[in-house]
Order: sequence, then structure tokens, then C-alpha cells
Amino acid sequence: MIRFREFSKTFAGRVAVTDLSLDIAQGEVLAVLGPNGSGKTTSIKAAAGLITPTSGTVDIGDPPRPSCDPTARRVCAFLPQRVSFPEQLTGREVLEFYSALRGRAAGHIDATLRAVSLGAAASRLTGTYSGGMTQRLGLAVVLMSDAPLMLLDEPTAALDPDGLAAFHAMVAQRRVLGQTTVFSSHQLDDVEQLADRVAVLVDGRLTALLTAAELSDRVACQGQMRLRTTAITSAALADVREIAPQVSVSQDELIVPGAASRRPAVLNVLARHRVEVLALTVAEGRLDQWYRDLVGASATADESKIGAESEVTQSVMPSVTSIASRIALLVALSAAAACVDRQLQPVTFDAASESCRECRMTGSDGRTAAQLVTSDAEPLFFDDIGCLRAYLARVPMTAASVVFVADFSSRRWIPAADAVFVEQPSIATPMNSHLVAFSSDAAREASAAARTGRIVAVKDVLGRTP
Amino acid sequence: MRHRSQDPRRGPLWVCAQQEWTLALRSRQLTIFAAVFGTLALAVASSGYVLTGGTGLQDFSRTAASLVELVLLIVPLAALIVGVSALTPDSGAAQLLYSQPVARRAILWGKLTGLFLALVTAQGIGFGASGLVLFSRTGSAGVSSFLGVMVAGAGLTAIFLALAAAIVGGSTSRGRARALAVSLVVWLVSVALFDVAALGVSAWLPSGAAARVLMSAVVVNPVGAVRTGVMLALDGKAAFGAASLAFLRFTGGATGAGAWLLGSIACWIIVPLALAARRLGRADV
Repeated sequence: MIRFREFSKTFAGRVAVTDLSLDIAQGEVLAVLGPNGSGKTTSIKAAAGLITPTSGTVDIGDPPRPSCDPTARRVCAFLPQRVSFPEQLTGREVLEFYSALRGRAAGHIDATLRAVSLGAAASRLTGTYSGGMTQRLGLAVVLMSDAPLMLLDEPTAALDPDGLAAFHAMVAQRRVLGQTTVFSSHQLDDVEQLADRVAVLVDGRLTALLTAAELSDRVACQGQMRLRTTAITSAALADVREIAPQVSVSQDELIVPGAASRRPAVLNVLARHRVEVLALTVAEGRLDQWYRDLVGASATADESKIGAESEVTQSVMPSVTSIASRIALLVALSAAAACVDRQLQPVTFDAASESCRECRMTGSDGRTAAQLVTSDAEPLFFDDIGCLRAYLARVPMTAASVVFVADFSSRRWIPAADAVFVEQPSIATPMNSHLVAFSSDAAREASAAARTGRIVAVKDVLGRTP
Repeated sequence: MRHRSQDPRRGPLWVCAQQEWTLALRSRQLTIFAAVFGTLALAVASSGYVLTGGTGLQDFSRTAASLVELVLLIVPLAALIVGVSALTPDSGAAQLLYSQPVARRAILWGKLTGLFLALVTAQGIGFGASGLVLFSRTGSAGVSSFLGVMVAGAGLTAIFLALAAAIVGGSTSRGRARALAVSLVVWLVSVALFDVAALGVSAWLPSGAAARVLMSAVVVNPVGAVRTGVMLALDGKAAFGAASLAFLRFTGGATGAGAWLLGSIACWIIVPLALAARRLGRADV
């Protein structure tokens, strides 16, 4: 139903996806996992025909045709991550429009609206909808298409419980009907419950592709049984090692990692050697732990690789080749470019739910955060100024980027170029860089903790003089 | 306003046009523009005798002649602002729309058609209301001149909507500020700076070359082309500037000049539209 062949996408020199080859069969439910900026959205949007591959191909349907071909997209419906609608239209009018655009009769609009619990709000303007209602209306648009292939970019992120129930019911029904569903998600519960296969992308590369059964095995292998026993003989330990080679002994505890299926055999061996079990605890493997281990390992392995992968969703202006257009626009573009660059503003981040681009940890201290804002890409968040410095050491800033750092005292975003950076070992930061920023020297002086710290030059943080 | 149910038998172009028409008519911008056009037309009509110490309304011909410069100034700006605003939807809305099994070109043509009809309707309401007042006070003499100005307004609307589409390309709301900035520069250049620059350049050239520069300026600048066309239609050669006069001499009279001007206007619609379709087709949404 979908065929990625060596699909790569680069946005203005930044690699979003590299050499993705993947087949998704009809009737399959595939979940795409990965941290922010891993290429999930880019891959799904490429399948929806919204992004042209830099190299490779993305085909959909049977027989396969390029997803950029509008007629090929008859089989496909796509729901963006943050869907929105013209505020002056009602929910019903939105569905009428998309129904007409697909050349379908509008007969089943009311039923679709009821299915997503929007029956009562059908005649209300979408401008009055809550975020959850808007997302449910988006779900209604794709539901109404009845497309054999559904592409959903983080569909559950903004869904309320009603929407979530509707989404689960929809996927279950599509599975029964043999229709294909591809969705990306950070909600591992959804992935575990719904997916037949899981694809994990890290830094634009396909890092793992597992069936539900394989995933279950991998997760189970992360389990662990801990036994407190009477003295264990070397013969008993040797026999246990034959069943569980990774067994280890820590003080008076026998630690047996691996799937639950191994555990009875281990207990039998101990009983045979007359080793008495005094206490037993079991920790089952969890999907989130497996996922974090996988993502962490991949990120470490890719440290030396080019950085700068980012899920850039902004349109890229194609080169203007027409001489006629140059005549009309040359003056305008050059005059506007300078003023636009000055308009880059810091983005409001919820530090508690945002992952640091460098260390991948969730932000924990808004006083030490930083962000890299670029005109043509999603902003990057850092929870420690040390992380920002490490990132910029690998991926130098461009002229189109602006860095903002949090003022240590007020937490307000300030341009890094104007900041006073202080390294003070007594100040704890999330990744122990002990590097903090102040909006001015007076602000630094006013902070008792930072007053005696070492001042660090801006170029030593940003890697260049701004 | 009540929304007519979409008919699936219509092609995607008309479905998009109807949608855009509905959205435009429900927005305040169009109401404001209609009010501005109407107020300006009445203000121009009633201020004609001020310098002579008289009172009363001018007839259609005199009002039309006075209105031309205002139309040349305001209509391009309105078309650019409305066009850029409507053609840079939120990222989520754009992704949902362009993932439909419809060619992006058809969506673009549809949106532009709806916007064009909505803007021309706003102008029609504004000028029409003032026209009714003029008709009731001064009769129908010279009404064709007034209609000519309205046609010029429609032509300018088409040209500058096409330019707005070319400027926007495949941008979403994140690129709206940039597109609006570029639009303002385009507007300023076409309504003011271009003619000044052409005159400045020609002042330094020998007369033959200067005439060619001035003549080219009329065709190259869409506002200049429409201005000259309207003046020709109103038989207002007395109000011609240096560029228009040079152009008229070169083309050998009104017929030749009209053909050139129509060609220029057509190019200023077709070329930006082609560029817009090309850019949108290649854009990553």
C-alpha cells in the first residue's frame, strides 16, 4: 500500500530522513515512533504527497504510483498533527467542502459528525471549537473519505477522551475491513494496543522495524527476576547460566534478566541444587524503557554523524528561475529579506513536556533553557546552556538562526548575543554545565549565586561571534 | 451569510472558488473595502466643485476621471492584502487541503477565482451604491466612464491577485509576514517608485532613448498599463504623463496602444499565475 524506496529528504541542507526503505501492506496498522525531529512527520507527509523526496521514491496504492500524483492520493487520507480550519465555517460546512473536493455526496456527514461526538456542534463555527473538538473534526474529515489508506500524524496528541475512543474504534474497524492505517505517536499505550508493526526512526534513520509479537518479545526480554537465596554453589550458578547466560550475582541477590518464560526453569535448577529462595521480586519489561534504550543507543551511535536533523515542516521556496518573475520580485525580495530575519522571535516552550535536542531529557529547569530559532525550521529546545554549546559545536549556527537563552533570574527569553554568560560550579544545571545566562551585567551582579562565577564569552557558547 | 451546500458534481476548482467566496464574504475585510470604495467615490463626486466655491455632485464622467488615481492606488493594495492573507493558511489547514486528491493548481485557481469574485463584488457594491446616488442627482450622462473605472478596478484586482499568488508560492501562515512585506514593496514600486525611476532615468538619456524608456515603462508596469488604458478609454489624453504620451506616439494611436496595453495586462495576469502554480507545485507543505 505504501512503498518507501531509499527515501531521503533534506531541507535547506538539513537532513530530515535518510535512506528510508519500507513496505507497508494493505490492512496493516503501522505505528511510527521516534523522538522529536526524528523524521516521522516528514515520512508521513511524503506518503501524503505533501513533500517531494530529495532522492528515492514514495509510492502509494496498488499499482504503486508516486504519492505526489493527485490521482494516486484517491486511496489516501491524511490528518496533520495540528489540524486547523477556517474559523468562519461551521463543522458541517467543513465536511461538506472536503466531501465535495473528493467528489463524494454529502449524505453521510451527520453520521460522521456523530461518530466523533460532534453531532451537537455541527452548526457551530469552528472558531468556537476547543482544541480537542478541532482535532476530532479533522478525524471526521479523514473518516468521511473512507480511504483505504489513512495517514495520521500524532492523531492522539490533542484528543480528548471522546476523541481517543473514536480513534481506537476507527482503527479497530479499519483493521476488520482490511484497510491500512499508519500513525505516528508518542503515546506508547496506543502503539502497544493498536499497531501490527512498529517502525522506530531516530535522527532520520529507520532504527527498528518490529512486528507486535517481536516487540512484545523485546519488551519481555527487558524483564528481570531478582532472587534472595541461601548460599548458591558454583555448580548451581553454572546450571542457571545455561538457561540465562546474563545472570549475575550481586551481594546475596541472584539477578536473572530476560523473558518471563525462562524463570520457572531457573527456579527448578535452584530447587534441584537445594538452594532455598528466601525472597523473589519480578520487574516486567516496559515498552517505554525499551524505546528509551533504543533511542538513546541510536543517538549515541550517531554522535559523530552530521547533526542538524530537524523535522522541518515549513515550505521551502523553490528557486525562482523565471526571468519575468525576477523582474517583478527581485527588488521586493531583497528588501524584505533583511527585515524578516529580524522578526525571529523566541517560541513559548512548555519545558516540562519538551525534550532537549542534545541530551533528549525533558526540560526540568526553565532558568537554564535555551532555544535555537531558524526562519525555515522548527525551533530546537535545550534544557541546559551546556547542551546548546555542545550542539552548536557540532552544528554551527547559520546566519538565519537566532539563539535565545533564559535569563537565570527572571526566566524571560533574551537573545544569546546580548546575554552575559556565567559559569558557576555552585549552580546546579540539568546536565551539570553550571552555565547560566543573565540579561545584563547588573542582573548578574544582583544574583548572589552567580556574582562570583566566571564570565564566559558569548562566542565560547555560540561557537562564533554573533 | 448563508453557505450554499457544496455540489460534488462541480469540479474541485469551483468547489474551492465557492469556499473562498464564502470565506471572503464572511470576513470583515471585504465589508471594509466595500465601504471604502463607496465612501471614496461619493467623496470624490462631492468634492469636485470645492475649488470653485460651488457645491453639489459631479456627474459620472468627472467623477470617473477623478476616481482613476484612487482606484490605481487602493485596488492593488486591497488585492495584495486579501490575496496574501487568504493564500497563506495555517500549516495544518494547508496540509489537510493539499493532501486531498486534487491538483494543487486546481486549488489555487479555485481560490483565486473566489477571491477575484469577492473583491470585484465589494468594488461593485461600493461603487454601485455611490453610482446610484450620482444617478439620482445628476442623471446617467457619462455612466460608461464610471463603468470603465470599475472594469479597470477588476483588471487591477486580477493582476494583483496573481502577483499575490506568485509572491506567496507555497507558504503557510508562518511565511505570511514575509509575503506581506514583499507585497507592500511590490505595491509601492508599482504605484509610485517605478514611474519616478523611469522619469529619472529618462532625464539622463538622449531623447530617443528616453522615449523608449518611458514607452517601455507604460507596458512594464501593470499600474501604468491600466492607467494609460483607462485614460485612453475616457479620452483623457490631456491628462497623460510623459510616458503615456511617448507610448501613444510609438504605437501610432489609440487602437495600437490598446492592443499593447491589453497584451501587457494579460501578461501581468498569466505570467504571475504560471509562476505561482509552479512554485506551489514544487513547495513542501
